[in-house]
Amino acid sequence: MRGRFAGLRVWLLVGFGWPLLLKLPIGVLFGQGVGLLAAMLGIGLLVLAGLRMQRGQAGDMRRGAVLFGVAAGLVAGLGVQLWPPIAVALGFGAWAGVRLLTDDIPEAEAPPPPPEPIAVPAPLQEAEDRLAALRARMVWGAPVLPLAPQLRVTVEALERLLRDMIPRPERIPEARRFLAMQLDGLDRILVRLEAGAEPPASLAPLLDGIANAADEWRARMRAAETEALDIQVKVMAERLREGGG
Amino acid sequence: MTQVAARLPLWPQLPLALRYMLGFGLLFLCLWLPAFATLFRR
Repeated sequence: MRGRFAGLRVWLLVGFGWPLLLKLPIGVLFGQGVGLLAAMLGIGLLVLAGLRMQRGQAGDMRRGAVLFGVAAGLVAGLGVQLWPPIAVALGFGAWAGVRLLTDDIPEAEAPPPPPEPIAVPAPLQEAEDRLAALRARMVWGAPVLPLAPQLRVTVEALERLLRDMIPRPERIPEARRFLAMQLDGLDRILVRLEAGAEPPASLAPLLDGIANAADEWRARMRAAETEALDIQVKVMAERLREGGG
Repeated sequence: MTQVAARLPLWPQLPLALRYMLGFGLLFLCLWLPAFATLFRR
């Protein structure tokens, strides 16, 4: 029976407030301001509670029941003008009733918090910032700069290298030197080009060379990881053979 | 979807039928009756 007809049950409970709907035209016709206000507040709170409980996330059943209690208390106190302690008691009664009737409706867990952004290790942060700055200059300066497509490809290759370095902190020092050198060079090239320099014929091959070198670095890092895994597998196989034999 | 049973400490193991009767009774008394009574109030 657990959780069956959950949505239906919730709206059935909300339906217990139907006389309030009838109160709306009566209140309007006979000019009963307070009664009308109570009916509107009651209906609003009940619908809110129904929506909340229909959503069914963690804690929604409890919060919905509290809304039911507040609605009942308001209707009793404001609409029927009962003695306030009795209105409060009725509110508690409605809350308890709703809890009894909805306690077995399962709730979904709250959605998991969004994943934290990838932490860039401190030594790479500078390279990351410089690459971001270079990219920003490319975006703004791209139409006027000669060789803009090659420059962009080069920057993208360096960015890929940086991304690959993030999970391998032990390789940071060597690759960082390479990155810093290339970033320095690119920075100077960009400054000259932005100042209106005509690119020499050797610049395009140089940019290609930088991109290739970055890709080679990535390939080398991957090869090192593969080799390490290979050794690990061999060691484990050896251990298994010794232990099992 | 993981399901979390939210159990109340006050009435942990009441039989289902009794819980439903109590619940509907309370709701009738504390929500429907006051709502109905508003129709006869100014």
